[in-house]
Amino acid sequence: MSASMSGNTASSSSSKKSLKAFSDDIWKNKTAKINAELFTLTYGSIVSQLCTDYERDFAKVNKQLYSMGYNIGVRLIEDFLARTALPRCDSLAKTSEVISKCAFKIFLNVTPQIGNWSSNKDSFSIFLDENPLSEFVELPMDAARELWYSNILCGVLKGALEMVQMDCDVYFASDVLKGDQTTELRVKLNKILKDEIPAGED
Amino acid sequence: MAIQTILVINKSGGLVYQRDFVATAPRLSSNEYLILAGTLQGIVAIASQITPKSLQIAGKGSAKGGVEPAGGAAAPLVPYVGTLGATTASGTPMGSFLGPDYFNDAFASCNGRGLKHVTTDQNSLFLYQTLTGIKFVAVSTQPTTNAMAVAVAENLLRKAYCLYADYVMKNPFYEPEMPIKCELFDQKLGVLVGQL
Amino acid sequence: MNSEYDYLFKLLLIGDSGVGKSCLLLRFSDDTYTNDYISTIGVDFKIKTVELDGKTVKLQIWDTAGQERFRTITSSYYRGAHGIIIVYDVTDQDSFNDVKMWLQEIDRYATAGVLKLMVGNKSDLQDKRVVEYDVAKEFADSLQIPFLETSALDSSNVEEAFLTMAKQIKDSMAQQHKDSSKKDDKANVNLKGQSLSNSSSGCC
Repeated sequence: MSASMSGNTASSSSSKKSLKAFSDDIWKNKTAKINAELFTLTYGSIVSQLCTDYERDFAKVNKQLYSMGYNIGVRLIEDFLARTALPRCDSLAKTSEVISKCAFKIFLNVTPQIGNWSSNKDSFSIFLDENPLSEFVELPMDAARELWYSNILCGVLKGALEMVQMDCDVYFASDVLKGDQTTELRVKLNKILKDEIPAGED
Repeated sequence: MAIQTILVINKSGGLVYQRDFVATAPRLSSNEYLILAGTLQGIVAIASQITPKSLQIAGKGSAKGGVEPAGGAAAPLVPYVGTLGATTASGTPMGSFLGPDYFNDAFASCNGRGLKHVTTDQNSLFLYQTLTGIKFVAVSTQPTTNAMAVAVAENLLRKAYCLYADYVMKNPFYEPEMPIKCELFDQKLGVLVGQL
Repeated sequence: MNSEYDYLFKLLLIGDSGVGKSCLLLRFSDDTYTNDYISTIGVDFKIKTVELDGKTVKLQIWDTAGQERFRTITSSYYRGAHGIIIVYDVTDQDSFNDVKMWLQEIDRYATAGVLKLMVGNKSDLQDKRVVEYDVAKEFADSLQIPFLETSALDSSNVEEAFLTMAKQIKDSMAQQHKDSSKKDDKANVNLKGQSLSNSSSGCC
């Protein structure tokens, strides 16, 4: 929950602070909450059920989690925008900051680090130091190779970004559950869907 | 100022919700409302190209090719209007929002150069557009150009958006982009408009 | 009032000016409106209410003006269309040649995987015909777009085509629910359509 230390965002430190304070206020004072264990357990039972249903074909499980996430993302974006009324981001750096400090904060109460920018600034990574989805999880041997346990997050981001006219690829690059050093979510902007931006925006 | 009608128009210009709040007001048929919604979609697009502000933007922003809106700094702020829709007093739950209100700050209007407000001899029409392209429209029973009334309308419509985010989008059986048939949304919107 | 319909589908009617788009729809829709709208904002609306699988479906048909001066707002008319009907005039070769241009517009502005239908209008004017049925049919087949000819005298097959389209849209929505990962596949269909349209450019 500590503030992001990433030096790659383009905005000034003062606006960083205000976005953080703004998001903290929404999380603390405006958002109804549920028990975290119930949430973690619900997600866990879904993943484990999918593994059973797909007969431990983890590629299919990953795909299904992504698809479920996508369907959540295209809906959840409306909650995010209604709640925050944030204006359109003018750069991908700003988008990454809003995702980490505002979206992750409001919906999961974590503020992941942003980093690992590509040289042309069209992709970045989200480092999940804490992952509320997988707090008590240990992957079985057969799942550890292929399963991206939290793949639903990729789908959520994909769906939400698409609804604000950003066509992105979102995928996991590593996961501590698999023995990696970090849990890294990669976001790559393919293009801004210019023709779909609603008429009337500046 | 009372609200005669609320409309929700999806990003394709399709009317997905329409509700009259004044029983005595003349009614349009559902087809006429569909045409009104489609027409608004076109008018918003036209307005966004001919307002003085858009001409100004087109004049200086062409170098960037208009890929991204230039800086969010100039976005006009809509003042927060308290007392409207504060429901904790009556103990009504506010969905996923914690009381006393859905929000309590001024907020940016992202519809910077589109159509926001139309006044005729008989009514005023107010339009709030989201970044995802949904339009929330309110038609008042009386014409008004009062800045306060415009602010009240924008606050009301953003709150309608909050209700939409909860009671429409979080209803897993609601089909996105399709007509809204959610009783809870009807109820909550009725309460919200009734508080005006 | 709000519960009058369960589904709302957006259909878009495009094609050169004067091919008879508006006439085509007169018999089809519930109500006939004056053309005031079309000259004002570049689009007229026709609405048809149909019953599909016990659900009330409104087909809102956006009848666009084929004129250049309305192009600037084109993208907002294409947005979210479920089906697109491209119309040409069988007595006007240019209007048929321009179908390719309209298909490019669809690729640019419309959702990938949108349903398409090509209609040759005024087929009753046999003595003035310049676009042969077989030529048009071959072109449409090469792009895997359903094709039909129609006239003001007999528009029953248009009605049928519209209803088929509505049914397909509804089915594809149900399909998306079953497997929403279909999204990628739909994009592939569209890409395939594009490459076919390039390779077939020599055929007419």
